[in-house]
Amino acid sequence: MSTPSFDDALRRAVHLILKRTPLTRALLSTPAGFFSVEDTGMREVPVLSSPVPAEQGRLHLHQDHAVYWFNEQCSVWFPKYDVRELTGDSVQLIQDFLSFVPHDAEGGKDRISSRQLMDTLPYPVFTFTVNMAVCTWNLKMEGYIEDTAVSLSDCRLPELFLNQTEEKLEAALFRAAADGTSTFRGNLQSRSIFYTFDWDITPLYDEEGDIYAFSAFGRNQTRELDLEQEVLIAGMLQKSMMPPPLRDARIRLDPVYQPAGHVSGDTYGYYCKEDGRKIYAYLIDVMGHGLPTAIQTAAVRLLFEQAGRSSAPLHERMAQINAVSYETLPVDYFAAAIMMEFDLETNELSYTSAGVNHFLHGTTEGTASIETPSPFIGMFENATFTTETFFLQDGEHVHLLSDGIFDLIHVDKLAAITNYDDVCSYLKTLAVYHKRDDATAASMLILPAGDVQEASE
Amino acid sequence: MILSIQEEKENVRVTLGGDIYVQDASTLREQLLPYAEEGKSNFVFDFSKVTFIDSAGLGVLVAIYKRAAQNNGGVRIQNPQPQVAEIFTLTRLHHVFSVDPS
Repeated sequence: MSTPSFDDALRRAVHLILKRTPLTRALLSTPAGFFSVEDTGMREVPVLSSPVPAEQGRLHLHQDHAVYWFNEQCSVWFPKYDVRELTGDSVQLIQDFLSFVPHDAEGGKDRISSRQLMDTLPYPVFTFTVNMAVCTWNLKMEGYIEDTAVSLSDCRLPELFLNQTEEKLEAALFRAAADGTSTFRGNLQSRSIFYTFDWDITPLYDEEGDIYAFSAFGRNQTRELDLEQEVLIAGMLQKSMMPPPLRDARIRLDPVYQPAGHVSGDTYGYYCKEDGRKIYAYLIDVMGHGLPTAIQTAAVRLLFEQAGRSSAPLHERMAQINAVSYETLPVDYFAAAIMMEFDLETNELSYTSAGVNHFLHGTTEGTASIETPSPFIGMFENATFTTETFFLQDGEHVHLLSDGIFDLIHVDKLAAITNYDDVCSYLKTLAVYHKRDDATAASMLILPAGDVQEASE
Repeated sequence: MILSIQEEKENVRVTLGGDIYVQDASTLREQLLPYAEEGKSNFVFDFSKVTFIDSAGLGVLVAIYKRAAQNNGGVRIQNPQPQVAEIFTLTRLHHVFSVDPS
C-alpha cells in the first residue's frame, strides 16, 4: 500500500480552503504561465488583473483576503499579507510571488517542498490510512497534541479523538468514500485546554483509482461553540427576568414570550403599583435581533420599570424615555413600545403608545384591534406622544403585542373570539409556530369584583 | 426587494418590491446606506410594488433620512399601496418623509 503524500494531502487541503473561503484572489502558476483556477476543476476564482509591487517584502491588495498562488506541483497559501491597495500589473505580481520562494545557497530559486507548504497552513492537517493509522501531519497538528501522551507517529484515530468511537469514525470514512468528503467532530487537548474541531476528510486515490488513504483538515470550532453557549445563557437569563403570570382578585395577566433566536429584542413587564390601586404594564420591541439588540432591550426595560413608579401622565413618561433613549441608544437603534395603567377602582385604562400601533380589546362581542398611531422611541429627539383613556367592563380584556405576533393575526378570525383564554391561546399558537420575528404579548383580563380566580400556570 | 437603484448627482432613486421584513433590512441597509454616507442627499423610493414593510425596514429608511438630512436633503416615498401608506401614518413617519399618495 502506498504512503499518503503531502502533495496529495495539500491539494485536498487547498481544495477545501477554496471551497469555504470568500476568496476573490487566486492564481495558478505553471511553467506556461498563470491561468484561472477554474481550469483545474476547482471553484472558479478570478485571476488577479492588477496586482501591486511588493514593498519591503509585503504585498498590498485592496481587500482583506488571503492570497493564493498555485504552481505546477501543488498550491501555496500566503495568508498573512497586509492587503490594502491594488495597483500595478500581473507581471509585477508574478515577480512578487516568486520573490517569496526560498533561495538556495547559490542564490538560485528552489521549489518549496510540500511539507514546508503544509507547515505554512494555520490549520491542522494530517493523513491516515484506511485502517485509521495516522501517517503524516503538519506543524499545526503537532501543536494541538503537545504536552499529551499521544504520539502521532504511532496513533490510530480512535486514540486521537477520545470523543469518537471506532464505529462512528468508520461511518465517516464510508461517507467520504461514497460522497467524496465528509465531516466528523473530533476533540483535541493541548496543555489542558480542550479544542473542538470539525474534521473534513477526503479520500486520496492511487493510480488505479482506489482509495489508499484519507486526508483530514481541521476547523477549530471552539470559539464558535463558546460564543453560542454564551448566547444561550444570555437567552436563559433574559427569560428568567420575565415576570410570571399574575393572579389577583381583580386581574389576570398572562404573557407570551417567544424569541426568534436564542435571545430576544422584545420584553414586557407588569406590576401592581405601590398604592395598590393601579396595575402598570408595558411591552417593548427593540429593532433588530441578536445579542446587541438584547442588550439594548435590557437598557430600555429599565427605563420602563422606573417609569411605572412615576405619577406623571403616561405621555410625559414616554417622552422622558424617548429623550433618554435618543441620547443613549446607538445610532440607528430604536424601539417600539406601549405602556398602560389600569385603575382597579374606576376600571379606567390609560395607555400611551410609541410605535406599537395596535393592541387588542376583547369584549363579549369579540376581539378587535385598536389603532394607536405613534412615533417610535429613540428615533427622533422631540417626538411627542399622547395618552388615551377608556373604561373597561368586567370580563373585558386587552392584549399588548409586538409586531412579531400582530403581523400574523387574522383580524376576521380574531373578531369571532370572545373568550380571554381563547385569545391567549391563539396568540401563543402564532408565536410558537411562526418564528420569523421575536413574538411577545402581555394579556390582561378584568375580573368582576369579588370573583377571585384560582392561580394557575 | 430592491428592484433597481438609479443615481444621478445627489439624487438616488430606488425601486423596491414585495414584503420587506426584518430579514431583508440588513441587505437594504448594506446596499443603500453607502449612498447616503458618500453624500447623496435626495432619496426617492418607489413603493408601488411594496406590499409590506416592518419596523426594521422603516428603520433603514430613517437611517437614510438622518444622513440625507445632514446634507440638507430628505427621503420621498412615492406611490405606496394603501396598507403600506397606513404603516407610515401609524408610525407618524409621514411627518418625517414626504409621502406621495398613489
